[in-house]
Amino acid sequence: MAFTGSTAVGKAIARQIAGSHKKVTLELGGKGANIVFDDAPIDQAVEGIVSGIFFNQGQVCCAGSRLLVQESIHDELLDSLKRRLSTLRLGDPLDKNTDIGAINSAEQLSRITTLVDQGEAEGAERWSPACELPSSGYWFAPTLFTNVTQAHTIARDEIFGPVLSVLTFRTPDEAVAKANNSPYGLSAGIWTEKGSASSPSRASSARVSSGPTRSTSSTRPRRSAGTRSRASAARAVVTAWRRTSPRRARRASDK
Amino acid sequence: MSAAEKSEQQRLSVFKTYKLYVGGKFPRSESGRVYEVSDSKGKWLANAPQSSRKDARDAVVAARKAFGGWSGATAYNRGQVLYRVAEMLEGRKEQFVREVADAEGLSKSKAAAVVDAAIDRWVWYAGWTDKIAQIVGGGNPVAGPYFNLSSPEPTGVVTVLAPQESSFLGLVSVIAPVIATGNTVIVIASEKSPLPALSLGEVLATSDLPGGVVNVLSGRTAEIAAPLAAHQDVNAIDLTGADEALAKELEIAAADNLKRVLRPQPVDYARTPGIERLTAFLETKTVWHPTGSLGASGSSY
Repeated sequence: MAFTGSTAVGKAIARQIAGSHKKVTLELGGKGANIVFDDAPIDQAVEGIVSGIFFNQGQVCCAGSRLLVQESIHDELLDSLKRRLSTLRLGDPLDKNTDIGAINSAEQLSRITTLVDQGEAEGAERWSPACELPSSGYWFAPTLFTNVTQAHTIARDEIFGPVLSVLTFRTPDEAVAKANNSPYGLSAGIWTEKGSASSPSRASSARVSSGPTRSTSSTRPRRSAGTRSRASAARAVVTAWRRTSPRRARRASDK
Repeated sequence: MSAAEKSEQQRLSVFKTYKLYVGGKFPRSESGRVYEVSDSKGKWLANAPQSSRKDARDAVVAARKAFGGWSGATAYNRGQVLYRVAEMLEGRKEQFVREVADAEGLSKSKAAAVVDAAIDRWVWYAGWTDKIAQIVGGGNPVAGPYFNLSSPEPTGVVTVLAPQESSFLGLVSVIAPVIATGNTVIVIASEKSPLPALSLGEVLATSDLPGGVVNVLSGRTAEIAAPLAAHQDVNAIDLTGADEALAKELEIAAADNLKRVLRPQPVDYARTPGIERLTAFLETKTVWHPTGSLGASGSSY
């Protein structure tokens, strides 16, 4: 049995097949994090963030719906991100020039709207570019929230729409802790200029050295094939961080 | 009567207190309970701790704490540690032969063969630690300027219900593959014959294995397994030691945080195992790493 969909239904299926001999593959929710460090190439990071959350209107299980930005570059990154979002084109999804199409159903649209309203009610700051929405169909403008904390519903629940929550961090440890603070770990991206060339970290050196020695060491959102375990993606973030940070490696003994 | 014989008669017998092995220490059950363990003919052997829910939860905490270090150790290092377990067992073979013979009603020579096989099993899995990644991971061909690599990662904290009948070889056959790949484990020993498992704890404690990587609980399997199957910080459960009804109940409880579940299946522990138990508790992580070359758009993204 193979199922792709919500975590709640996935759990129901897992209960249902208990005690049988059926095999199951569950592909469930994600609340992926993009972590951007202060040495990241901003423009490239912005492109990655945009394709991470706005591809297919965010209706992707491995969407990077949380953005973790190092505090020192928060304003700069947000300016670039907003500028880039303003250039996105909404429209007919069959048109090759369209960046953002419609939401797949009225039901999903109302769910996105509810969650976004809740985000505003809880005190996060909402921003959308000024763009015209087509008159008919289920449309939702690309939206980003700043001033988001980990406790906010929009940072916890899978929205499955073009909505990005921006959180900040100061230290790498804090970034990892925040990225892992989700039951929906599935994908993650790390943006930093350091990393591959200088990474002495364990077990991964071979892989790193066969990557670029210069240019960026940022990783695209990675997809965990297992998908059932929160631990896997949690570790994905941790391990990826080990891969990219010389500082991290010095504290190899802690998690 | 010689002097030697006289002192032999006066010596009081020293009974062993079997204790749990949790977080590298040897606690009694916090409940203070014990239950009687007898040999295959019904003769009393010892009292074993009867673990409670609290003991189970403590074991999860210990296993989680140990996970970072153990999963972060190099595969080569884990192999060395597993081999060290085999070395330590070799030195205490006699004790295990006696315990296995009592527990399973085997002759001394048959029990010795079982213990030998169990020691060899540690060696076998020790060899696999730094090879499994080559079998189940690797580079992927992708249509883009990415270096794309999949690698196996340990699932996390794994609860194992050890086989009820094969009290030592079966036990080793279910623990070793789980920790070989970097998981940490809470094992519930055979309810009827927990003594070899509790003694294994003593061996593990002297084998360079960090405390908390393996935690051994004894008691009523159903009582200890239920809170572990429902525990939110346990990532997987091996139901080998559960009967059909218990396995179903535990699998339902395990669905709440979508644990990986290994269902009970008939296994001949005397045979060389495949890699199924190694891969049962691995996740695949795939990393997309930009190569820096330019794509069609003129950018490397």
